[in-house]
Amino acid sequence: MKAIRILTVFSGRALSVLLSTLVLLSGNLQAAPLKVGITLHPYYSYVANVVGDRAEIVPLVDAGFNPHSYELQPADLKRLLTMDALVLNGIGHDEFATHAVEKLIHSQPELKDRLTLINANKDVPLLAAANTQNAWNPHTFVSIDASIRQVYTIARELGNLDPDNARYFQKNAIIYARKLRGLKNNYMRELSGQDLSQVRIASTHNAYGYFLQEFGIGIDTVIEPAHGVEPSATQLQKTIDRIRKANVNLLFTELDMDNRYVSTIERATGIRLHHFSHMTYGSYGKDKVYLEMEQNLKTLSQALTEALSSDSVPAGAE
Amino acid sequence: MTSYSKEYLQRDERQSDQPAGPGGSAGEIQIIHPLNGQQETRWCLLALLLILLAGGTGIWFNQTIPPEKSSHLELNTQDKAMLTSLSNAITEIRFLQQTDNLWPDIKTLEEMMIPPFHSVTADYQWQMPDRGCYLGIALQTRTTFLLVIPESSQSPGHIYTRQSDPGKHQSCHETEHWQLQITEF
Repeated sequence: MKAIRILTVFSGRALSVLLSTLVLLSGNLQAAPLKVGITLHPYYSYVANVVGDRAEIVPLVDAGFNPHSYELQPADLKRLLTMDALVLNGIGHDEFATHAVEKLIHSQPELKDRLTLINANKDVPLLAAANTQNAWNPHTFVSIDASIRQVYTIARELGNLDPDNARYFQKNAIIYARKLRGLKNNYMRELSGQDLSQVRIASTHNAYGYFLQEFGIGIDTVIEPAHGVEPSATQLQKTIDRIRKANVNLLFTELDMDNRYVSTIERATGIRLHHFSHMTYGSYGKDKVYLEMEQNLKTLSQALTEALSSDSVPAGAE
Repeated sequence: MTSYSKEYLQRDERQSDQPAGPGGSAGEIQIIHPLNGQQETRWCLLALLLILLAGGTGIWFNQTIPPEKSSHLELNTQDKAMLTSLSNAITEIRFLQQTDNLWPDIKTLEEMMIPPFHSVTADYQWQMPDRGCYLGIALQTRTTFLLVIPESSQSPGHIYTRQSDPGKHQSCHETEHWQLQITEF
């Protein structure tokens, strides 16, 4: 009789221990942080500022690649399979990822349920690509307002995946947006009251349309015939003629990209050359967008001040 | 005899009634086509036409429909910037509304430094004709903006423009006189 009672007590305790373990285990499973993949550097900064320490960020590709010419490697695909979500530019700057993901989902349909694709540009009022029909300008990340729009979209989509943290993600997104906007306002104040209507701008790469648009400035000439494609000798000559004819004051080019033809244009036209960050080079970092955006704002402010000054050299010097 | 063609036999019968020629042979007529590639040319042209027809049909049925041109591309640089700014404002207004359970008015949005309600360049005069509805009348340009955000977070907000004075069309519920530019999601 005593043995039966001991056995009953023991089974009861064992059962409660088992139940507690199961509860703890399920709790741990629920609390497992999301693994959020990113394709380009700015998206690392956006996601890092949105998720804080409540999700893990997995760059699809190791730092140091050129997004204009990259092709996914087996190690990248292995990383892709560990992600819960992948944040994409989705409008042409990470085709190396979108094409691979499409093929992978086609061959493994179950991946579609496991991996959520977040198109960060879904809600951005996009600009048309220069020199190309039926395509969007994919450089929304080289802009403050378009970055903020993407940050909000990412926060909403991640909140849908992790409803417990949805409000936290949204709050972080708004704090980050205000930080970026504060940066912009400082430079907006500097430029307010200036008549920028006479400033004519050329750009080697069509990366700054969204950024300049925030200051009410359009780009008159984009030199590359297509995204990431260098102009031929004939195209370069035509561009030089166009720059001279349009009396372009400023030429913006990439900080980290070697464009051999830029010095030719500079010599032929006497145009002032300034460098903007494309934000997709170097290492990944939470503050990369903020820091490089600040540098771009400084460059823009300096370039516009020079262009507006009386000693500005018009195009066609040579 | 059995290997002769029907044509040959008929001709043979016709010719048997006539006297044989000096050589004694009844006139045998055999049609031989010249080996000048004319037949092959015809077959090649036919095959070419068939290939072109099949290719043309394939292209006709597999054409990618060019994406419909978004109306916001017609806006000028300043208006496009305003559109992006308002698109961000929708999220922030919703956040404030969900936090305080109250639609923020223009003064609150200015104080919170939310663009375009707070702007370094005061180009617009903002009004709030209704809850979740914001009307921006341009002071210098022609484009007027209307932002309509439904109460339910499941329903997307909309941004409209108008290239003339809104006049009497300032109702947040009658948007047929406005051009829809973008939806929230």
